[in-house]
Amino acid sequence: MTTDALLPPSGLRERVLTAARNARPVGRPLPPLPRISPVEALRRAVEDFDSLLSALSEEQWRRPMPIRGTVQGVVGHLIGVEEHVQRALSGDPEMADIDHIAGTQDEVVRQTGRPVEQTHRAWREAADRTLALAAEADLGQVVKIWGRTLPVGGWLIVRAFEYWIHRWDICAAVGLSATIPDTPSLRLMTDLVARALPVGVARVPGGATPVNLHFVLTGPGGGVWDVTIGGHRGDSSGEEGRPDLMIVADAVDFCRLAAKRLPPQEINAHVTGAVDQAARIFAGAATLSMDE
Amino acid sequence: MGRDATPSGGNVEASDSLLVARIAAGDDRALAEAFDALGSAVYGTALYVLGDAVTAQDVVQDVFLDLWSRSVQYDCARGSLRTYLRIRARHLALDRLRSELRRAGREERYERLNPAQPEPCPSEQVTAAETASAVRDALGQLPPEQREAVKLAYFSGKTYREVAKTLDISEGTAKSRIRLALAKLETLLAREMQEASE
Repeated sequence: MTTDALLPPSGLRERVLTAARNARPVGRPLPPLPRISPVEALRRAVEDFDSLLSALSEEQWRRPMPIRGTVQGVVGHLIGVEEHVQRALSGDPEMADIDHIAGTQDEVVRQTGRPVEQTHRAWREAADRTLALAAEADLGQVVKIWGRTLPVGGWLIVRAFEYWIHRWDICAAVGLSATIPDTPSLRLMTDLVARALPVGVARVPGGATPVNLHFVLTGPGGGVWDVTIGGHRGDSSGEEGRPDLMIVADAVDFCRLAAKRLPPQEINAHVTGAVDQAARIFAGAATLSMDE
Repeated sequence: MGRDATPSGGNVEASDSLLVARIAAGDDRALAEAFDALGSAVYGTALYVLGDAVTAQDVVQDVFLDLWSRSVQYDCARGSLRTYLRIRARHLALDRLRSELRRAGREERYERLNPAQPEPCPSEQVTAAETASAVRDALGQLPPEQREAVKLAYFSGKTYREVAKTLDISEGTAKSRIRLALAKLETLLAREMQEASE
C-alpha cells in the first residue's frame, strides 16, 4: 500500500483551511505589507517622478513621445492635471466634467519649447500644491472630476498611478529602464483597479451578463478579490460559493492593461470557468484609463 | 493570445508555480486545491513515520499552514510541490519522533535519579511501561556503536562534541552515528506503533 492511498480523515480539510485563514486573512498577500495612506503614495510617486526629470538631459526632454508630443509635453499635461485636481478639491464645479486630455492641451502648448528647468520647476510647484491640499483633505469626501466620481483618497491613488505610467512612458522614450512603484503603493493601485472592474465592464458594449469573478493578482502588489460584475446573480446551476470565472494575472501586467499600455489580447492570464467572459473583463479594465 | 484556459496537466512545474503564486497572493481556494490534490500524500507520509493517526493529522495541518504562511520559500525549479510537501511532512514527523525520544530519555533519567515517586495510576503505568519498553527494544536492535552514541546524546544529555570525546571519535562520526541510529529507530518505532494499534 502506498502512502498516497491513505485518505485524510474527514474534517481535516476544514480544520486546515480554518487554521490557515486564522493565521493570515484571505486576500492578504505575502510578504506582509505596511499600509500607507493615499497621500503618502502620491508623495512617493511625485518624488520618483521628480528624480526622473532631474536625471534627463535637455535633449531627452525634447524627445518625441506617442502622446502629448514630447516628454516636455507630458509634463505640461501633468501640470494641467494638477490644476484640475486642485480646483476640484476646492469645490470648483467646472472640473466635474472637464476632459482629462483636451482640458490640459493649453498647458501642453505653453510648456512645449520652454526652457526645461522652468517646466520642471512649474510642475514641481504644482505637484507640491496638490500634496499640501491633499494633506488637509477629507479622504472620504466624494468628488467628481473628468466625468468620474471617487472619494478623494481614490483620486490620490489615481494620481500616483498616472505618475507611474507616465514615468514608464518617458523611460521607454529615452531608453531608461522602467521601474515599478514600491509594493505598498502598488497594492493601493491594484486594489483600486480591482474594485473598479464592475464600473469598467459596464462601459463595454454588448450587455452585462452577471458574473461572479474570483480575481487573483500575483507578484508585488498582488491580492485576491471576489467581485460581482453586472449585478447580482440569481440562483445558479453551479456549486454554492463557487465563482463563475477565475482570472489569475500578474499585478503589474494588469495595471498596465488598465492603463492601456498592454493590449488585452497580450496579457498572460490563467482563466478558468466562464472563459468566454474573460475578454469582457479585460476590455472593461482598459476603459478605466483616461488616456486615448 | 497568451492565455491558458485550463491548467495543463502535463506541465506540473507551471501548475505548481501558479498554485503557489496564488497562495502567496492570499487565495485560500488555491490552498484548498493544494490540499485536495496533495493532502493524501502528505497524510500518508506523516502516518508512515509516526504510526499514529492523531499526531499525523497535526503534522498535516502544520505542513499546509507552513505553505500558507511561507509559500515564498517553495522553489518550483527544485522539485514538484508534491515532493516539497512530503519532505516537509517527513521532517516535521521526525521532529515529533525525536521529541518523543528525548521525552522518554528524560523520564528514564528522572526515574533513575528520583526513585521514590507517587504511584501512577494503572493506565499511566501501562502507557509509560509500553513506551519505555518499545524504546528499549528498538535501542537493543541498533548496532552497538550507534546505540552507545544515542544513549550518550539522549539519555545522558551530552552534546555531539561530548559524545565524540567520550567515544574517542570525530564529531562528524558522532553526528553520523546518531543520525543513522535515529533513522533506524524511526523505522523500528513506527513499525512497533503500527503493530500495536492493529
